[in-house]
Amino acid sequence: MADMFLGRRGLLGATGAMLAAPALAQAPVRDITIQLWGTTWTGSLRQVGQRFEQATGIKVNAVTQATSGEGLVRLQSMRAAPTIDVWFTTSSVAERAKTDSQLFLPLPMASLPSAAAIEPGARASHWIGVYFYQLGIVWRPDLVREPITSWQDLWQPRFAQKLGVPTMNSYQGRVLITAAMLNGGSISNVDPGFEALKRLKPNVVTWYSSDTTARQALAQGELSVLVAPPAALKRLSDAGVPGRMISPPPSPMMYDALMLVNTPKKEAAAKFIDFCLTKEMQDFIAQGQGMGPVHPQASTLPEIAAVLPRPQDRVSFDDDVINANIAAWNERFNREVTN
Amino acid sequence: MKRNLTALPAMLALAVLAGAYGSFFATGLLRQVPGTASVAGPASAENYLKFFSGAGQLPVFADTFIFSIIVTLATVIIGYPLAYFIARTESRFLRVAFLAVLVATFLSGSVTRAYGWMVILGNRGLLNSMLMNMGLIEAPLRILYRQLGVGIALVHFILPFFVLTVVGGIRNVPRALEEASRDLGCGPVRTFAKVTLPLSLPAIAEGMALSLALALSAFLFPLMLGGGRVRLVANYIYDQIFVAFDIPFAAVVSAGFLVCSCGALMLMMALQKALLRRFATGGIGA
Amino acid sequence: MNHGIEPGGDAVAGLEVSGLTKHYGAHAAIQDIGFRLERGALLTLLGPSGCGKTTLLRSIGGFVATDSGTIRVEGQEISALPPERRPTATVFQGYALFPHMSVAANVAYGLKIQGMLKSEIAERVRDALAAVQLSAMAERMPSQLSGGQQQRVALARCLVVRPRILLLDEPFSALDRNLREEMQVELRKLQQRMGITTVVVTHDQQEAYILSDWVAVMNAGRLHQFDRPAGVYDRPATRFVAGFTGMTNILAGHGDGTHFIAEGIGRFPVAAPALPGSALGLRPGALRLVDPADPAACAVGEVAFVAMTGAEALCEITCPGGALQVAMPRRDGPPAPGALVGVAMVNPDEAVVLAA
Repeated sequence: MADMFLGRRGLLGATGAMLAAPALAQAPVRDITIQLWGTTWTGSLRQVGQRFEQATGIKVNAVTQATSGEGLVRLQSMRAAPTIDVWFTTSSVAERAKTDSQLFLPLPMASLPSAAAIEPGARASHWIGVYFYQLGIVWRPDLVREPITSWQDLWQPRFAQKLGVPTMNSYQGRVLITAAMLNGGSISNVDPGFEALKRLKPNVVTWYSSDTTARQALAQGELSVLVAPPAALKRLSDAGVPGRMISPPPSPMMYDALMLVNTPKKEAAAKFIDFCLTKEMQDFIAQGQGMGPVHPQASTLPEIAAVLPRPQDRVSFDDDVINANIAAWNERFNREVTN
Repeated sequence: MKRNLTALPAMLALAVLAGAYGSFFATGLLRQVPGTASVAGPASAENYLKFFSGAGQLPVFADTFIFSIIVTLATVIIGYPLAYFIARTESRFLRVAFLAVLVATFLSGSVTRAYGWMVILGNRGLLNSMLMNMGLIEAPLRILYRQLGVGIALVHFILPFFVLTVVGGIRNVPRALEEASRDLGCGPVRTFAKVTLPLSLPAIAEGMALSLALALSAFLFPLMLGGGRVRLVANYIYDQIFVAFDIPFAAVVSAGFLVCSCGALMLMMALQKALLRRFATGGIGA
Repeated sequence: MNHGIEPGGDAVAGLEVSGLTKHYGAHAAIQDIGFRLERGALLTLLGPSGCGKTTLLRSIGGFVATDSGTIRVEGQEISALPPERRPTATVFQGYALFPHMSVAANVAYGLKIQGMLKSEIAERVRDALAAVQLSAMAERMPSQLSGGQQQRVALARCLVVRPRILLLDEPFSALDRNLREEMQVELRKLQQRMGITTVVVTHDQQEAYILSDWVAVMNAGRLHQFDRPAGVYDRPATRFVAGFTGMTNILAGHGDGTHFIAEGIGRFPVAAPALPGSALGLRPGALRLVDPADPAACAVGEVAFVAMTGAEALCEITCPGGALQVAMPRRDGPPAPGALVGVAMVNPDEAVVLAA
């Protein structure tokens, strides 16, 4: 018995040593990797990363994703040993992804002191919004004579072959739900939305899935009007092309958010997430992206601030409902609207 | 024994490929955990039943095949004369120049090319501006964000593959055979139809099979130039994975499409053999 | 120089070529070629590779666009016509049979183009295959035939369209020797029976002598001699023709009216004018060995070596000014190397005086 007891202790001790070994042997974290959209990286996050490195000595590497869906599938394919520590995604996809408890960690609020100041809607158990944006209407006044004042304007014949509208997948169904709301429907009754989108067809040049190409098409004059977030307006002014935006009610609000991946570098990764939430970085990110900051004291570019929707016009949708329906909506959209 | 050894690397590569398709098949037996991007058991034939009931993917399959066949035919119509010219021109300079232009298209990435086509085919693009300046059209032609635009980009992408395959086939037809036909009283056009064309038919069939395979697997051009309207099977599968996060069903669609594509290619090969037999007894219009 | 039509012969030539020239860049492939060939005759274009004989043949067939000159077939000018409108038919080197068609379909090819009735085509194809003894092979594919059989198909394919000129490009070069001789005879018989004007390209002078009514010897794009086979052999018109036809003794010197004085070698009893820079051409068989003291001896020298060439022995005799080659029957007992011998002429008529 004694032998056995000792033996078991010895075994436990050895196991403990083995478990502790990686932690003991682990060198200080030199770098972390973030997966995000190329435009977000070049827009502001590259410089945020550089400042983070100056402040902490930890380098930030980037892996880009074409869509957040693609980013999620890539992360799942490396579930056993993810090489990505922080993931930038939309709040909708984040809600779907968080069920994968092996891959994503709940946010350690104790290690995120800056998060306390962030607006409550941007905080969830597994993700935290870095900026917010609304879906509105961006247009070129040189190509559209009469200003646009409401969503309904888009259905006017004067916009025949002028519009770029996100596909179902882009902005996770917001276009459909908004169209439904304008026509007496809701997130739980999207039929009027489909009918409205069908009626919109003659006006649509492209149902776009890539922000970059859509914004370029607007800048080139291939489109006159784009249903898009304020970042599209910034893209126009960057290109020296006149642009205007309106955020008519209902104005669907979204966050692009950070998630913490379950890797050995999670402490450093959390530190980076916190860094993004400081007021200084919030100013920087919001202005770099042309989006709204989630830090109440931070501010974005004046021309973006001018087109943010009035608080009473803002709507946000239940991501669980969207996630449960997006596949079916997408099928129906492709069957009934785009063909 | 020795022969078996030399075949080993090829067998290994084949085994890996077959293994990949095998895993498609196996993944298709699992199910998506609703509301997540995860996959779980137990194994069932549910996805296969859904596939064979066909509601979602059938129109996409049909569209893809029709579109790919049109693209392939366009490639043949444009590519064969090009290949013929390259194979038969007496000028070494022209041959090298044409080949260089064709091969140069390999060097630019697909995304770059897609942007290039946006610049060329757009409403305010080079093509429309040119046609309008020449007074041939009054309003710009809508080419981009339509099947036509995707088709043009795809034909341009496939053309070098087809031409390079067929040039070899035409060069393998001895010129003396064409001369013999001319000598026996046959003009250049009929000589082409009775001698050059039938003898380069195997190369054409090979080039067409390659073109069809490339067209069937098109993904990026429909995505970037299709304006959301051109959805081929690859895009459908992409949506199953990245929008619906239903990886098992995507696997079933992939496996199903693989079978259909192989069937189409085998049909083409059978057609080629039948044509060759027909020519063996005396050529077109005999 | 004789140009093919015998005096008092046919007024309209079967084939008449004049002033034919073709340059590839600065290189003249053929230059100022001209001859007249009577109807039904067989002409061989003879010369080393690169002499222009194939270019000339292809010009007649219409596959080479010439720079200048005319080609007439039975009086009709054809040089501007494309191949399909010329009354010529070619047996190509390598035969160029259509590999995707049967033997019968190959032979029927030219007739189908003419839009002939099916029954008539069948009859003529049957006759043509019978003429080349290939009736049993009608349904075979070309790849299933031997080289000789393929050649017969190629010939039948040409003859069946009844061309006025038959052109053959090195027709026998791919065949082994026995078959080659058999086919040469067969071609000659067939050609004579059908009375078809024919031009054959060859580099083999033996073949040229066996086949031809006329031989055109070419070198470096120029026509050196147009003559009967015996004329080419016996009276070569130029040093090139002499050398090409095996006249190995070409001795530099000059004539004095009754003799030709070959410098450093000897005096040969050939009536030659006193032209400077001329040469005397002698075949090894036109010379014999004699005693050095024999009055018939034209030259005296030392035997350098003796080679056996079959029934004959070839002796090389070293003279002060050069060497002489002498052929003699081996039964006459060739001399030993090192012996001093005299060289005499067998028949003064067999010597040719070549101009500068």
